[in-house]
Amino acid sequence: MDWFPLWLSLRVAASATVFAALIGIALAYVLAKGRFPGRGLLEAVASVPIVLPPTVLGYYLLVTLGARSPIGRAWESVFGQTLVFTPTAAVIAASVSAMPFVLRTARAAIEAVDPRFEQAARTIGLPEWRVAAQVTLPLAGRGLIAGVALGFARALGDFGVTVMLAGNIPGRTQTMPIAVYDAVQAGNDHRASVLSAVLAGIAVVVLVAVNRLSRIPGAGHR
Amino acid sequence: MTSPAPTHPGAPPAPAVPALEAEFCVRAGEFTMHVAIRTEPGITVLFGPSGAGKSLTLATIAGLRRPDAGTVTINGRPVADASSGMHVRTQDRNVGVVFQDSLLLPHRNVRDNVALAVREGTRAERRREADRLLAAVGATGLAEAAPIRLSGGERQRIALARALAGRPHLLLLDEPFSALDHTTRRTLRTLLRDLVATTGVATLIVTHDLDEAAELADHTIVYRDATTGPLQAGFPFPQRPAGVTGETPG
Repeated sequence: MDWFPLWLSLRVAASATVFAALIGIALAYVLAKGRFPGRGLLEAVASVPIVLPPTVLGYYLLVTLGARSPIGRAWESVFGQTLVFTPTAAVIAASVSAMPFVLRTARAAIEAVDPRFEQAARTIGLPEWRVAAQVTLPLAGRGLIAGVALGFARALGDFGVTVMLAGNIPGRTQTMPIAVYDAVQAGNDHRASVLSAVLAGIAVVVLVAVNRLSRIPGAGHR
Repeated sequence: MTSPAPTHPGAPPAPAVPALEAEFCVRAGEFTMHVAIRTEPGITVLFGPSGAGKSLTLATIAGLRRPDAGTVTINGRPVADASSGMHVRTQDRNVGVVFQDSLLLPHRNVRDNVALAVREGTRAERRREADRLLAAVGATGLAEAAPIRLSGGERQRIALARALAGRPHLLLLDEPFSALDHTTRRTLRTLLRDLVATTGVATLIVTHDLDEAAELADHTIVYRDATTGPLQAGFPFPQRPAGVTGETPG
């Protein structure tokens, strides 16, 4: 049995989770704390990947990053190969579909932090970035981890965006969900059932972890 | 009864510049409060019923909210002026604040909580200073403890150490002992008196507890009808009902 899709999926999902976590948590902080013009628009745009059909999202990414787009051409001139239909494109696809899930969970967690802790931190002289780094984000920690775990599950399971942007190249860009589809199309029921079971198992483990993290209340908030 | 002593024996002599001069209005819903305060050294008690705006007063002085009119001056330096919109951030006002809930960071131990508030020095120096402050509040043995493991009284001791760690120009306390039991409250009042006497920091404490006001006050400002009364030496109310003392007027 060829396990390449599993390793590729895990690597792609891990990289995508890092990007989705960095961007998602930073955006969540800005949206939770900031008051600036265009905030509503930014919020809407950041959540678009949740409501768009994945193939449509993948299509727009393909148009934006494709070989004839400015970004695609710039990428090719720097790295000597096109961006789309590569494992890197799979990471981008998974990052974009995972980011809004990190963002929404992280934002709720940040907004749930008792602002009096932040005020107390200001009175002892901590500058705003240290209030964020040493007070707000640690107190929101469980929610942030839950968001990142959800993002990982989403990244691992992405089909539509990845297949549009990275294609279905066995041994190169064929991730687990795409390999399942491929196995069914090829009539390989055994392969489809094994890959599906592994993917479902990982998803359930992540879900259980997320539930446990969000159920335990934050420690000693007084 | 003799005339009230002008200052507590431990209070330092008056400096040329008062630690706080504030005259401002803040609106809270339908209610607009007018505050005029000029501190003298020692402990000034802001006394009044719940909902009189005492906490709002401290929040405005600390810069956690902006006054709707008027000015705040700390140690001779203007930090808020509603007419020009000037507003110095809380971080740069150098005030120590103790809240009713200690608000210690639950994910850091006691020493770290205090060391975070020490403004100068290397990491090791800040931790040493934190240990010195913990000794001053009688909490040496708690340095490694998690705040969640402490009693309410212990938490407020740590909160006092943290508030003093930045060597503030002004110490603000918002009903700091009201959640504690009677005995602990008395012990902490004595500790506060000692700390104010040793550090010489001008202190404003909000309370609605008559005993607390009477015991702590070098000066008192009474809130009524959404306005602060004048600064008065000592505490203006008899500590015991007049009949008990057996004194006659005149």
